[in-house]
Amino acid sequence: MISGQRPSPDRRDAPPPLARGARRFRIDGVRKEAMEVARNRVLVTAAMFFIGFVVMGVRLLDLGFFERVVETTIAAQGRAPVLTARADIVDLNGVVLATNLKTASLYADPKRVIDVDDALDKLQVALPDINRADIVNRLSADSRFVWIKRNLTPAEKWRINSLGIPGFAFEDEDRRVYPQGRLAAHVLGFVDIDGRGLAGIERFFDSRLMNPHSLHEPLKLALDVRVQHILREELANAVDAFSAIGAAGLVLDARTGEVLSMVSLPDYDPNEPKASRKETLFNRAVQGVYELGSGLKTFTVAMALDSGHARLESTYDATKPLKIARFTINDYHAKARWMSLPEVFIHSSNIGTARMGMEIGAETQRAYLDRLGLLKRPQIELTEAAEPLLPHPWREISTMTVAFGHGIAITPLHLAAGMAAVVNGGRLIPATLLAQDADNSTSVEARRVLSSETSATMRRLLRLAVIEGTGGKADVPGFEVGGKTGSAEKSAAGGYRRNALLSSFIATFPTDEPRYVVLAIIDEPKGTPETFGYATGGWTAAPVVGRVIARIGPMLGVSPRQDQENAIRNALLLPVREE
Amino acid sequence: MIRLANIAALAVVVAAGVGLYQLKYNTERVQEEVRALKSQITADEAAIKVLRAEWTYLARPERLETLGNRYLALRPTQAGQIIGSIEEVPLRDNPSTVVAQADDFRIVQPTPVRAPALRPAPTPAPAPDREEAEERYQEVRHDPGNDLLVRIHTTLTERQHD
Repeated sequence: MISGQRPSPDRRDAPPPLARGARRFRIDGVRKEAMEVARNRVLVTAAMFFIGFVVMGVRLLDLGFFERVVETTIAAQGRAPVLTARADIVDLNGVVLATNLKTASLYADPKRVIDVDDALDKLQVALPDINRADIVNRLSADSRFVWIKRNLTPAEKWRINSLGIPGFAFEDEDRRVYPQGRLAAHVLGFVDIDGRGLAGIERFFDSRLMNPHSLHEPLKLALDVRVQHILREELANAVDAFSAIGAAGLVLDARTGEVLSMVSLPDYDPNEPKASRKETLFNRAVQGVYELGSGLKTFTVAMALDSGHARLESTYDATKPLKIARFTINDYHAKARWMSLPEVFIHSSNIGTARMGMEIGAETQRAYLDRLGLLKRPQIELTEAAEPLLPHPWREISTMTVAFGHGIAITPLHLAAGMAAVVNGGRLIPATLLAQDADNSTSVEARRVLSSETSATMRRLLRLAVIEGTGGKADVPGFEVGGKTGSAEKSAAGGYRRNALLSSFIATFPTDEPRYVVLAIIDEPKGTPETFGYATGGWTAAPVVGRVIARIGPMLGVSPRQDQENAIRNALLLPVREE
Repeated sequence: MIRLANIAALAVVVAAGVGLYQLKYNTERVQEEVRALKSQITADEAAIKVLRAEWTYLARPERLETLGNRYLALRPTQAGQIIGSIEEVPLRDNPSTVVAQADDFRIVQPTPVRAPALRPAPTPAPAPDREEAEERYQEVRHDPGNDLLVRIHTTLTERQHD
């Protein structure tokens, strides 16, 4: 449009139409014509500049008034830079379990400390625990940098700052902090001096926690600090009361596989992993494999019912100890008579379950245990998780002992996850430490391992074992606890130690619609006068589970119900002889 | 005519120059402001992280339990206290239902036997970790930045003397 005004070059060079007229003025001088040409050229140049400026002006106006986008994108880039090198870990309710903090460390430049004595007098007010002689000694060294105290608390830093001593200054250091201390030590693990995860969640999710794109997104665990605290406290009390050497506990959501709590005692402070004894780092809940004893009878009874080898009316000869090869299988709570299947279960008869195991046969037993996940490493987000120890070869005697939980060493997590599958309708849901979305519970990867009828029967049997059997001390009115005790003699070189028990109790509540599985294991409890010298699961671990359920039940929103004891009895129509 | 144009052009140049420098200094000032705000945000975020950690540390279930046992009359909920469904709520005209006056629902003060530490200036023989928590608590309490905690503590102390 504007270019139309520009005279074309050939129009300029060609003889102008006014040549004749020009010729007329030629007499006036050649100069005049030259001036004319110059004027034309200046006009053209000016026009070109004018166009240029107009274009620039328009663009300027455009930028200034209309292109706000440029401005806003710059403002949006104002995200504060990332503070730390590792993402936080939080619990189910968003309570901080692990975080990175810049902590201040106090150092001094000896050349700039004017009066050492005066400075230390003041410093002692703020930090009463410093070693004065040591600092005087270090300040006299020929150096320009002396650490006074590392990793101060904000309060300490504030106090020192308010003193204003010349020559002293702070240096920021990045430090992994576990505000809950020992509470979830074995789940969280710990990091080394460079912030690399060495154990637990810190190790398993090391790359996720270090990933710069997800630093602002905390890792959310299924753990609940309240439940964790209750389980840990009750287990610690039991360890004290029975002078045990250790304990382990788990609380599992039976429907989602979420681990609400995982405790292993003795534990350590992840803030100072180096300060703890090496054996405290061991996670008994997933790292230790144990012959857990009677808890596994639950699986034997379940597979006997599920495979059709037994019915509730089936009876088993428990009149005398069972002798096979060079082994003798005894009953701890010997009744010395024929027992019905429910009686075998609630009185925890080894002889009865061994006979049941024989009926099932090694092949079926292995198939069921495999489906329950007991024959391989438990599925959990911990690198520590241990392989089970299986009988090899799987002989007839193995089939019998495995039926009542001996001759096979599994982790406590195996037992709890298997139990969840038995009671939740028969689906094995992999245990997980990560919080699952509430709405996609249907998408949870679940494999059917037992029929839902078997599961329903097992729930009633477990309830009956608490009402009538060995687990009475775990009962909590209103929460319908069902569970199975376990008291396994620990194996030693060449046999079993009669007085070294691994006492456990595996429970679920409420039994009519199980929501949680609770497991407590106490390692080598000693009987006390209150328990009449007994150290078995029913006397040591069952009360722990009972107290834990009484405390976490209301907290987790399980609504208590009227006891349906008679309903359960009627539903089973069991021939259980009153003792 | 040309002279006038030149003068006008000169005026525009001067005005543009002045305007440009004004804009430049303005931009620098705003940039400085943005930088300050950014570092302020960073510092605030760091402070929030510290405070969150501090809060979590102070609100550890272990510590809350100790404090709750010492200062509150509340006890863990029992299953019998929870009503599962509306049918379980007893009706008023049921003769077995006890009707209590509204002001009867006062907090039950714990007996000295259940909470010996309720006396003023409690000096229980504390477990090492409780001692540490207590020390830390005192520390935070004396920090003038934590007046909220001081207020809470004062409230609790006043309650103690009631």
